[in-house]
Amino acid sequence: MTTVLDPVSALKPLPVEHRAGLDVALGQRPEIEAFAADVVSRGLRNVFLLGSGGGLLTHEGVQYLLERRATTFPVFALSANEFIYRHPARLGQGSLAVLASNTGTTPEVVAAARFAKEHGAVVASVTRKPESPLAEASDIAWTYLDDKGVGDPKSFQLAILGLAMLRASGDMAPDEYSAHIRTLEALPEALLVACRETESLNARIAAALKDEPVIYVIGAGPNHGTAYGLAMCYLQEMQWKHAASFDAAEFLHGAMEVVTAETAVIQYLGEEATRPIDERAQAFLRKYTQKAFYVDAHDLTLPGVETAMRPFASHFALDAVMGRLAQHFEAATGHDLQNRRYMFQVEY
Amino acid sequence: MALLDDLTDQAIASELFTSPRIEVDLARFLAEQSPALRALAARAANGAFDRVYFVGGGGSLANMVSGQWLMDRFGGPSAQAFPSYELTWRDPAALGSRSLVFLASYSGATEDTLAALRYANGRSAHTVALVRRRPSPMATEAAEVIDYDSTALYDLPLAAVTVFALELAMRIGSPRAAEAAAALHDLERLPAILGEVYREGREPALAQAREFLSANLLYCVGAGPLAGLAYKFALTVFMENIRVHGSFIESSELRHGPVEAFERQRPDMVFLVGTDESRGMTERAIAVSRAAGARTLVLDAATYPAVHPLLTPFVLMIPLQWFTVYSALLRGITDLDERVFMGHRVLAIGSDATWP
Repeated sequence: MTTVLDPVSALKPLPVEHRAGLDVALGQRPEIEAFAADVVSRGLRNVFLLGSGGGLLTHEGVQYLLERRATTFPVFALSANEFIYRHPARLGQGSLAVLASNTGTTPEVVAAARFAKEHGAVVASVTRKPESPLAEASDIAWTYLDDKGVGDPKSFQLAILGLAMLRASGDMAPDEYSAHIRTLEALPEALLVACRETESLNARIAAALKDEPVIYVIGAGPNHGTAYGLAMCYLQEMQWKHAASFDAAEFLHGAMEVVTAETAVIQYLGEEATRPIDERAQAFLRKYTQKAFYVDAHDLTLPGVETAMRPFASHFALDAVMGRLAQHFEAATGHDLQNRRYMFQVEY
Repeated sequence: MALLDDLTDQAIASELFTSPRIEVDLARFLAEQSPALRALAARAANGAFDRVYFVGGGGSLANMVSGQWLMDRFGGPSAQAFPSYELTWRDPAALGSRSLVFLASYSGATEDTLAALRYANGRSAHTVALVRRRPSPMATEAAEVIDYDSTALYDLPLAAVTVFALELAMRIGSPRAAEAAAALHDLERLPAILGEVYREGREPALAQAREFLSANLLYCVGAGPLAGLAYKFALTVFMENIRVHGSFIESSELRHGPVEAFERQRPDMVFLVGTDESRGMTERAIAVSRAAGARTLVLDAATYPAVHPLLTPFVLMIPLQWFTVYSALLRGITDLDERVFMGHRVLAIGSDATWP
């Protein structure tokens, strides 16, 4: 069942068409805003953010935003299967289910969309193709076609949706909303710059950790999603390396006990309100392991992003830099990121 | 075997190994604290709260996660679980005077949970400290205290949120009230069942620990009501007490990445199989992992005395603890209550905080 592609011998260049998918997402803003205003005006009771694997972690940014800011509706993030098993009692009329899947074909995500609709929820999805089963199972789908750029169009679509719901529900003032939108519009170029600025750091991380048997990846706030994505989607799935992710707050509640001077750790430090958690964990790591690498949003220039908006921008930037690190691992190990033994290869 | 028997006797008296005393401790806890938890559920059912937060760190988050799970399933005010510092720094705008906040800390002085308690108090929330005993900083500062005077820092806070959520389900007329009633009924039978599971657990655990003695990385996989327990063992037990690498995987997430990593290094995996709706997915995860060459330890709730599917975490906690005890002893870790960093105040802030 295993198909091993030819070894990769060189770092792939950053894409020339780096912002096409993000521009598609930004262009959908009027449509997403209208949808948000409509769903709020009809009495939004709760929001379920659903996906599996990479699709699930795509929600971490908007989950963080809504958990912090929303007062008129709660938000829940669940894996698609867990959503169906749990069958939340609050799911029903007034519920909004938002599903994320790149392919739009993940069976349990499509099943979760149908399950949500059967139980009275409005169903929205972010996915690549309009003709996918997920898009077809949704009341509305925002797509972005085949994107190979820097940054994830889904996270932009979800951010616009979250911001628009906050504005519509009165939890975000119009001028603050505009500042967030200006930030999103500045990010396509800022993300590319962030990737360039971290090429050396990413190369050093990949070179140093390419042969490690286990790598820990940690982050706090929305950047726990960044850590989860690197550990699960890139290191485990695409590099076939054992890895584990932890919320930085939780790392100090047990996981720390395995740390020695030789323990490999990659930490993502954001500029969100949760930064003190990052700094706490970093203080421990600096003292007890020599093999920790820190990717810190403070070190990114993020051109075009207003200083006050850096806390909103930093998760997008760390996600983009993390995605680029995967390509550095690919070049360092020679293991093509497209190699799969199971996913898309076998039914299970 | 004499040395191992002696060390096992020593382990049975340790703070870590709570199963030897759980039959007595749980029965006493339910008798002593159920009235207060029912009263709290009555207040919630009468509309005193619009949000419920479950807060803790590590092993004391793993049981709080179950509180959210149960309230998601049965209804009532919307509920969310947070690591302690994530609550403090996320600073949810919805948290306020109509919020009920459960905070779990064994010592009652865990730095991040104490900070979260003070934060929630500052927002005028109704705070409930789940702590081992009074006096402690959290017991002193919380609006309400559920103290359990036991080392069972996972089971008894779990019992607390279970009683609360199930009682609430009954009082609000949840569509699943019959299921809640059945689970509450089984909760009364549970102490005796746990005693039986403990007494039967010793022998198989030694064999399992021997089989996994070479393991340097243990994935712990579970879903549904067992996800919290799987998280607890991966993060705070395998890593903290056996001192091997560990990672939690939710059963349905296994195929979304982790399984691909099995090609280069055969993984060692502990699966927790429930009797709830997630059972089928966990069984599929076992099958694909075995096909990929994984060495698997399967702890299946269906092979233990029958309890309501929502109560399986209490049951599987016991074979997991037995497995941990022998895994630690066979690795030469004979003082189960000693830690490399935890409790040594390597970073602790504040004179009244004990962590980490």
